Amino acid sequence: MPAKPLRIRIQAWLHERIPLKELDALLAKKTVPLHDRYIWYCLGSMILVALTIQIVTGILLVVYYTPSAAGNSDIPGAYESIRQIVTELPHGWWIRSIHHWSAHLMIMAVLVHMLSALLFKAYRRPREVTWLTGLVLLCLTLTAGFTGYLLPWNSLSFAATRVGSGIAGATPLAGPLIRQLLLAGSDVGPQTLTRFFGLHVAVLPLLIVTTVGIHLVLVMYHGSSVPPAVERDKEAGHTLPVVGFWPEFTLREARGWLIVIAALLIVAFAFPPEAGEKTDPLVPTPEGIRPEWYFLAIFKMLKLLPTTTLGIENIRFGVLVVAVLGIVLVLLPWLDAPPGETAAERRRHMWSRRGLLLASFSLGTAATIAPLHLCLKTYGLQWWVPSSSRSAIAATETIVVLALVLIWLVVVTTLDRVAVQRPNAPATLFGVVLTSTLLGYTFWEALGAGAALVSLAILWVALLVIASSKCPSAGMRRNPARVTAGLLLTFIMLSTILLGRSPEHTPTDNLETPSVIETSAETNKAVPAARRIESAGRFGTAMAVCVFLLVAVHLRLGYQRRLREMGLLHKPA
Amino acid sequence: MRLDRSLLDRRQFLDGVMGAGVIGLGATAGETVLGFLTGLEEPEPDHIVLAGPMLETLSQKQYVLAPYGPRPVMVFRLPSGELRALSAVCTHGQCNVRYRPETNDIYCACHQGRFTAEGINVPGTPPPRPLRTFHIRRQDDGTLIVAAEPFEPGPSSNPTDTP
Repeated sequence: MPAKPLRIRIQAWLHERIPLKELDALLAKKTVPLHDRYIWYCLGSMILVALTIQIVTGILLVVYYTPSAAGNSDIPGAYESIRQIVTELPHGWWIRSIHHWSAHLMIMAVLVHMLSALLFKAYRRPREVTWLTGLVLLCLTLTAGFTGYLLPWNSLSFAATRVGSGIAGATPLAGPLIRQLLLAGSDVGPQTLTRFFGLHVAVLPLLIVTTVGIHLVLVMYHGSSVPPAVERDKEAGHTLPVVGFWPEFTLREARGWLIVIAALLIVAFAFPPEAGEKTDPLVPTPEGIRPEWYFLAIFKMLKLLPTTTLGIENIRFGVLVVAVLGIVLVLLPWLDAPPGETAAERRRHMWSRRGLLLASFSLGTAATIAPLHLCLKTYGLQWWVPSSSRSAIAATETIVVLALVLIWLVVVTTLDRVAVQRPNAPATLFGVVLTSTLLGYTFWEALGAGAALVSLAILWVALLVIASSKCPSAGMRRNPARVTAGLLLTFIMLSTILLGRSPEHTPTDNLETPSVIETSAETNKAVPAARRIESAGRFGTAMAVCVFLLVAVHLRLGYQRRLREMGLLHKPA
Repeated sequence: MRLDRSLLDRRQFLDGVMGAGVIGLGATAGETVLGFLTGLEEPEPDHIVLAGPMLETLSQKQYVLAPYGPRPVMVFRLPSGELRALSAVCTHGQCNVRYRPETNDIYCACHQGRFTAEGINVPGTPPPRPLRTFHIRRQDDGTLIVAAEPFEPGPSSNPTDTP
């Protein structure tokens, strides 16, 4: 009897030990709904890609990184090891740059993913727990960003950690304990670096990966959520087109991943972060200091808040505002849960829980009005109110605020009724408001009040266009207006990342650095040209591979689509 | 009222005891871990002595930041020649401040907070409280002593640097 081929024998060996057949069957059965809001649902897998890149580059960096504050030219510490990675090690600067930019990508993807969940009410029954794990992931991702920021041990990271821990310390009741736990002392010091290193490379990755696992299991269990409008079409009797998870859906997603990976490589190659100035706790905070873009909105708010509001000191008040927003986010699935057994019944209750919804409504309005109002205060009111009479200014401000509230009501109700087709305006409002606040403050801080207003206008128009174009009952249709709006939205979202960057070269000349502690010799902190040239070949190859793969995936996808349209694919059960 | 039999059977009682034990164990472990994690508090010294390079920086820049236990203190020279010492940590966002001789005020770059040369927060800027004041005394050898508590009244407790 002839021996079976090796391939068959290996397969048999594996099948006996691993439930591959069951996995295959599961994969073949799994389908994903296909609709014209598909693009909003790609962010989830994008986050996974970014997370994978973070883990891989992070492992590479930790090979050379030294988590120690002490350090000099002989024994490298944290700062010196980063400088070594950036200026000496082959491709080190690029790997660090990818880690840096991929972190931005991940946080942006998490935020937009959350925005889409808000706008399309993906948190609605039975996906409340999925929403909660998502919020946990948001917190973990931001904490990873915060702890990672200290590790280069430069002047920016030191000041940012001081401010950040100061804010955490202003939390009511538990503040001092949280601060003490974060810093391992009364101020940012060597012990804080060790602690943040441990959190950043061990604790947080473990927690993030575990929570992502739970989140994914829940997503798989419930299936992908669809926008309420699509759901309504389904109830009205339209058949909702679906694609198989494997290979069509996966290929679709892979197309997005490849584009993002290529973009990430380009940005990382073009704009590598530098090592900066070494931390010196005895140097005044450098001029023009700024946190990363994702904390910029809070930063701006802290700058603007009056010394005391309702008798509460500004930092503490800021923490309270953020805490209340967080609580509303946690409670949102229940705040936005009208009674009724079927989805159709629930849709009829527009103001089901008026009291609670009104609370989130007014809170959201206040949060949006604040930046706009302050924009006007610094920007426009001088023209309208020539006299510096306080009562005239107050009256004008009141009128402006009321007008804005009115505009808001119109915008949001339209958005909600037309788009989501499940009228529950306050929850939608809350999502739009949260985005507006983050975006408005970021642009304001980076480019001024005018830019903030323009960015907000773009955001609202884009959201309105995206939402108000009629949702077709089946399939994907390209609507030029919506595509344009989507591109605009992507553009302003991505520009916040670039806007939020702190200046690399802190103007040290007017800083008059007192050299009390000997800082390391003034060697180069930027990436040497030789290092870049060295990596250029790899960069070109990587780009070529990305394009090649993209073409292959695209062709394969087209083939698969044609098979499906011809009805030649095995119909999923 | 007497019951014929206990509402709690033995198994329920033991389950309760086990549960309480587990909670107690967890609480003890948690408390221990928390104590371990809070770390050490660096005590604040009674005073520090400024000498050598610190004084050079002071005469060059009109201000210098010196470590006072865990957080820095700033010594600066007013246009009148008088020396002052204030906490160098802004009361708003905990950033390091600096003295600006040209405007004779104290400035924090993080949120553009300002203090007067007396350390009083300027209304309309973010800092909610004044900076903590320290006391300076010049010693005979030219070094400066910076202390949290006031010195015994003496002729040189308010040093000036008149050339």
